[in-house]
Amino acid sequence: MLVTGIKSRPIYTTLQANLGGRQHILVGQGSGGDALVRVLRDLTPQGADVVVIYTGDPSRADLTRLGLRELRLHPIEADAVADLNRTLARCFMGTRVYVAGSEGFIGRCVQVTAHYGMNADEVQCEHLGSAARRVYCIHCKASNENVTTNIVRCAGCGRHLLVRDHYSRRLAGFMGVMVDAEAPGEVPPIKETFS
Amino acid sequence: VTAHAETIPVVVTGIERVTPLIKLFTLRSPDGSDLPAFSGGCHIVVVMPCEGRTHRNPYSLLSSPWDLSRYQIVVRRHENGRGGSLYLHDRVQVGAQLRIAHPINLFPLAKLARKHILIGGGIGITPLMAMVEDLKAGHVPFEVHYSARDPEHAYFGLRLQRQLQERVTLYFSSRGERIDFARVLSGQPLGTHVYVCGPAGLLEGAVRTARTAGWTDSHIHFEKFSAPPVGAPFDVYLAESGLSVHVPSGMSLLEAIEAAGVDAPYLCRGGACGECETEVLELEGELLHHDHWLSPEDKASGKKIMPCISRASCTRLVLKR
Repeated sequence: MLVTGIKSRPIYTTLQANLGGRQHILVGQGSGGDALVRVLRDLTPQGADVVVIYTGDPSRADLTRLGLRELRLHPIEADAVADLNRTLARCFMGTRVYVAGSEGFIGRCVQVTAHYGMNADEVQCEHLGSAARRVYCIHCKASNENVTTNIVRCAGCGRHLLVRDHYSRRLAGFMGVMVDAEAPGEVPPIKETFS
Repeated sequence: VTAHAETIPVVVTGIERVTPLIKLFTLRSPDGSDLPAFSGGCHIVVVMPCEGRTHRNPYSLLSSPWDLSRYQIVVRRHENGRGGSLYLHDRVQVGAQLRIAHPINLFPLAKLARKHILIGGGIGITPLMAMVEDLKAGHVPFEVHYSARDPEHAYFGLRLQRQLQERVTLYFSSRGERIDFARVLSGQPLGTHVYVCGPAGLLEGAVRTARTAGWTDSHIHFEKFSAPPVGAPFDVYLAESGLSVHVPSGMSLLEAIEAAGVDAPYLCRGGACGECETEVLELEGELLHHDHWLSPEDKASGKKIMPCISRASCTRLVLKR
């Protein structure tokens, strides 16, 4: 239901070192760390100016063994996103950003890059790990993290929301629309959809 | 419906010689009503019926987008061009009636930019003048770097500097001054956009420096104001129209096609926008590409041509339309 090829659905790529950049900011979450390791293998031999921001279990990634000068580990995802924000505030034109991780994490990082006027040709994103979605309730404006089901009960207002493919880059979330607005109480079966 | 199908009547209400080579023309609608709205970076096409042929030359709008009672364009005199600039310089007087095509913007400001850097050389300052009017009304920082031969040839640059003070830097080649692109483009905040308009050397220098400094193409904007070159005459057959057309040396391929009565599509008339792209069906000889639209592979293939600016040196040329 309503899960169709909507054009706003983000398209992700496989991260590749962009040696045209003068400074490289790599941001990873969870298994996204593996993608950063792959990019770093191409960047570091070139002596590139690199900053790595990572949230998740560092033992799962080889990041700590690369001898990076600027490796910043954050136990909490929101702190990694805030670190990206602080870092970009000091960056200049010529910067490239690489993001790898869950869709919700990518969305929040892209939101930060957009705030700095960065475009798609400066920001690469690779989706790894969970397909869980960040769902924005169009009724109460709360964001629901890590949603894996086709219908979710909104943490903000308690409505049952149908998770659409309609994605907002500004809000970094998929639109959630009340599923039983026309027939109150008639909620279709809830299924695991985005695991 | 093609964008150029409808033209607007205008009357020339002012002509001012502002540098030895440049005249400033003020155009208003004959009944005094407002002209169509436009934004900084727009150009119009002026239709000039001369004896035996019609010139359609593109000119950037220089006046403020906030004042629709008039459009202003500047025309540089080209002694050896195809004749449009000489017509405007020598034949058009105050009170003359002309027709123009609606403004079109192929050089727009990036609305989400966090800073704008405008770089101009020579007559390339004209679109930047209207852009500055848009930027003055906002809160996004901007700076202008303008290069001219000497102060006598920098009328608009000096006018901008009087208005905007330290936001404008002027460079005079007569004093050995040049825009230091590397310095201008370094240390700029994320989200900065650069706009370049001027002669080929300035344009290529600025774009190359920006790319070397790691700027991506979505932040680099330029307008190359090339006029169609004159060249050896040649003949062309238009397959869909079923017409044979002679292209004389002082006329572009597009102009010759238009003179033959074909309503061909166009927007920029300078090899930049891609609107007039045409398929080459048969060719005995060589295409002389002058556009900035086709890829190097397309140019080498000999299968496509931009009639607004490119020519051919050939014994036989068949175009699709």
